[in-house]
Amino acid sequence: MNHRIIRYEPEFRERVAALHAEAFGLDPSESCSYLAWKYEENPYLQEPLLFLALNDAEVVVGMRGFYGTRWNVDGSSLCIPCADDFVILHRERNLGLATTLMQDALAKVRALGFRYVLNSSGSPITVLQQLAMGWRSLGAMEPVERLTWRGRLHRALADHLTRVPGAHRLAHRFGPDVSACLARLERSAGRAESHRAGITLGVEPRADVMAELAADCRDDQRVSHVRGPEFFRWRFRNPTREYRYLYLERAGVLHGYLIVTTYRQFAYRGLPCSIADLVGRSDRDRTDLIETVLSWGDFSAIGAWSAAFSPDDRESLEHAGFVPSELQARARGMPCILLKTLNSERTPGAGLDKLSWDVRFIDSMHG
Amino acid sequence: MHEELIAEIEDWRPALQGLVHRQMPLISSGNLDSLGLMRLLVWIELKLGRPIRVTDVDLIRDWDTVDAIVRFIECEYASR
Repeated sequence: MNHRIIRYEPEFRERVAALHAEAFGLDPSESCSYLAWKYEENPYLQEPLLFLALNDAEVVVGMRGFYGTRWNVDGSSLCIPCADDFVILHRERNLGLATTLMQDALAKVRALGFRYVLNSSGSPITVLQQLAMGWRSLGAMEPVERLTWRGRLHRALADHLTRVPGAHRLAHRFGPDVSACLARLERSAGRAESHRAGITLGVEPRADVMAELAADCRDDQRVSHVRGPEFFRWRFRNPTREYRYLYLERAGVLHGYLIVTTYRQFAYRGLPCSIADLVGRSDRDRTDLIETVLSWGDFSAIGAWSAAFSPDDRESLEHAGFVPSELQARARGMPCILLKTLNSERTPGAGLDKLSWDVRFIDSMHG
Repeated sequence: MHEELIAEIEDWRPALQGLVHRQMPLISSGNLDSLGLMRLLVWIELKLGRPIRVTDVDLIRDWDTVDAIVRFIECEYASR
């Protein structure tokens, strides 16, 4: 069967949403709003970088997206499209379409003048395929998790149900109630006596002051995602997630923030809650934020990517009961961030894969 | 081990039945798609008895042909 690779046009919106919804177990309307947020409202790319595979009957049988990201590199900023939402319709798999779609999409991205592409949330199978196409790992993200007895019980039940024929669709019902996690966090934060060290909980990002703090705390020796106000205004409108923000203030000045994220529709295989980002002016500030969010949320299961954290922050997590997770993936060097150089000419930022990268959970679509 | 791997690959990709040989490009040619690559990784890990830190492997250099894959496994054995 012949396939044609084209760039996304709005006329394909419903068909793309249907393909995405089927692949990721979402409602088509959820997929539609998610894709619109990610590709059409992205602050770093004017036009959606989304490529579609059509078969002879003009049916959308595959998609490969690149959403915009912007990184601080050597004192300037660089827009790098980040690959995501790779879908091949089940009946079209293992026919070489995956490779064709990826190669064609990359050629089109390169023709638009982009020098690099990233992938920060590929499944093991996607990571493998991309390594085979010359992508390089920028480092493993070293996931950690903290489970209470309730979290372990939920996981054991869900794992058991996934092995029972016909029962796997029920497994999510035995997962932790994520709305209860957030409600607990809000109740605890609302109690005056539980306030610690000037920490408060917010339901909206304070884009301007968060951007100022992130700029003050940035390590210029490492490549890091630009955290300007436009990042905070866009990033947390992800319609598939909910976010809560712990703010640490002294004398009216923001000294730190910690962001917790949950799925709106919890996928029982993953962790219901994660620390999406942590920024603070001092080790003590960040430790206070970690201790506070765990105390207030009393999460049955919460995770984080520890690779970008400072040694002190990692020690705080370990002290709080976080342990290495996703052990099989870790042993394979995953989850990881992948970079592909599209244009090897000597240009500013060349050799990005040799630099040290500070990649947070929120910099990927896991967050 | 070469013949065993060739039989596995033909099992993963029935369209390649009778076509796979020791120097045939598997990855650079697109003959092994994403699912085939995953199966190959699992097969190599089973042979070695341990997981592979695949992000450190140059797949085109080390896994593109049956000969290269068997050589890779032998080198990994030798380095243990």
